[in-house]
Amino acid sequence: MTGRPLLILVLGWALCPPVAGQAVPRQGCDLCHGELELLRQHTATLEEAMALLAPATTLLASAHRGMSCAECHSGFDRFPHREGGFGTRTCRSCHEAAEETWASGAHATESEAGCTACHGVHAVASLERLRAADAIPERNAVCATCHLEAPSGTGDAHADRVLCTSCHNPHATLPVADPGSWMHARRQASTCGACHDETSLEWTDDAHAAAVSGQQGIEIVDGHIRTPSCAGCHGAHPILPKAAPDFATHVTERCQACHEDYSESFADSYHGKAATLGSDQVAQCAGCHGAHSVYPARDARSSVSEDNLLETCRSCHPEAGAKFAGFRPHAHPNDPNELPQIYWTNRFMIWLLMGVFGLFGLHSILWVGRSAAQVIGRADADHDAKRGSVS
Amino acid sequence: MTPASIDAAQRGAGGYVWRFKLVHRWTHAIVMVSFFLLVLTGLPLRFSCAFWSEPLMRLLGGVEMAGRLHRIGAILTFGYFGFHVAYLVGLLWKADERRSMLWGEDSIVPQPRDVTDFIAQIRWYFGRGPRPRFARYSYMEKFDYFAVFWGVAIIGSSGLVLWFPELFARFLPGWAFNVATVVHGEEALLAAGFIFTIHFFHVHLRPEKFPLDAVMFTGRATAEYMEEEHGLLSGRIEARSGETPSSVSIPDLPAPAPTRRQTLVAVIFGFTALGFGIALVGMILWGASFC
Repeated sequence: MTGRPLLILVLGWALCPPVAGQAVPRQGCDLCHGELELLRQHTATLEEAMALLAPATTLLASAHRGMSCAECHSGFDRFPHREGGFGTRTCRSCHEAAEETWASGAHATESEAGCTACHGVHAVASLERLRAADAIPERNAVCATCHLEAPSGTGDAHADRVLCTSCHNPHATLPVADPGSWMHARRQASTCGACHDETSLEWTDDAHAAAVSGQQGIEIVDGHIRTPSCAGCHGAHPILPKAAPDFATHVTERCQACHEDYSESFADSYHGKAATLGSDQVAQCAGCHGAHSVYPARDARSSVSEDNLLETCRSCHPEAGAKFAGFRPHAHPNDPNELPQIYWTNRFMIWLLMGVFGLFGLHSILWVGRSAAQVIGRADADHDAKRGSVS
Repeated sequence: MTPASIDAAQRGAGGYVWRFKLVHRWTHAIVMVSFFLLVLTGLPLRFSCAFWSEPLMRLLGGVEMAGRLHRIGAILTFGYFGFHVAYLVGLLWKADERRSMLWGEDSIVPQPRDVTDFIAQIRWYFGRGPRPRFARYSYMEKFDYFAVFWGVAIIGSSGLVLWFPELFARFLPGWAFNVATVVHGEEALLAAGFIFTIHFFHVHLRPEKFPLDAVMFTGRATAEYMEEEHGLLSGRIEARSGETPSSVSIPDLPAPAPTRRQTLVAVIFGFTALGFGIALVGMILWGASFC
């Protein structure tokens, strides 16, 4: 250590010695620990200097603003600091419950992301700040430093509007397949329901809710959750806003992941074809079956039950009469078990096409062979005639 | 290569003869335009899973816009269909036209001659006889003509059912819409496939005519062409060949040669249609194979 900075340190300490219980107790520490430039001159690396940096302004803006340095750091009350005998209190010494929860989560068991990985060291955000709406992007950015695949940006209804930690328990962070996870299929209705309360109430007794309540595990297919749950149909990252032009198509794809048979027959119908090609006007799965009150057709509450079907059709076709609902939106014209009128019409059309193209195809092929022979023959004859006239 | 040498109807010796009236040619042109509009806007829906269907829909301005264009095509179709039926009724009204319209060498009505022509054609394929000499309309042309009636009736009626489902559901059972969907799609496939392969081959692409026969656009053909394609008319054409060319398109009368400009327009129109049609056949084949 060279002479001059030491002199400054001594002078600084002499002028403003740390006094316990004083209103601005950090002032003495701040003289050195608030100045990166200064710290850097007494440390081997920048990292070391950064580790020692704790400006009063940072602490005053943090959740710990009422506390003095000495409340966490012991053994530094003399200056120059003595060798050895230092101590730093852990977060646990005050936040015991939080740490216990954390210890059960994936941040403790799967990684080494401790308190400071998310909360920082001296810039510990206050609860008000953690919950402030304008802090959401900044809080989510903290998660994104490790969770690079985390959602962000445009197209996601939640991006910059919902905290990661609103859906994912920040302390007991668990994989979605764990029944303790806030995002486990059986808990999504309550987690998402914290904001989407009406939707979640509507959902709680429909066919999907009934299915998921009996389901322990969770199945992930192609990165999508296959269990009927909020995220099972809406996805999670990104989650499309309802106003997005491809919202219905996106949800339909999720329906198709489980209801394969119905999805094929839907894709063969005009509704399905137009939807596939980007129409947002036609009925897709939820257009007829509902979204959060889906019941099998035999259930009187179903939007496609015998009594409700016509009313459902009328939401797009207001003039529809009783016979209208007899249309089969999930027909299989190629299946002999389909209504005979539909099956046999399809058979007849296929035979008609085969017959017409077979007959006229053959007619044309024979013609081209004969004409070609004739055209070649004529050319040869012309050629011979010319040769004859020359010789 | 001059435009005239592309047109099969302008090849060969002899003066020009009128084959189609102006009203025939205009009707045919409107049939073409409406048909292309219908196929182009309907095909992506028929083969919605084909790779080309989504870009084509976007190009057409989206599914809703394609639907509107398809209905415009339908209105055009019902329009020319109605016009043509009225035209036929008008002709039948005139006693002197009635006989030749309904029977004989000038008639488009199928008759025993067509069966014998067909048999002669098959014999010719196998070198067992001369090529049949056709009357005003060969059996292939008659089939083409009546196929439009059949097609418009079937595709048009099923299309109307699908266009106004609420109206038709008042007296049709619900499954009728499933049947109409199947019929409309398959019959349209038959029509498009037939026109763009069989009709194209028979009229334009067979070796005698390749690559284009513009007689339906210019309305006229050489006497040699008429002798080859409609030999039975030769006597009549010969008899009137001395008259001065008629500027009005009256069949069998001598005609002035098509101007270079007329030929050019006909060739461009014809090749555009051929190109579109062949591209659509490719799309149909892809869709039928992989959808």
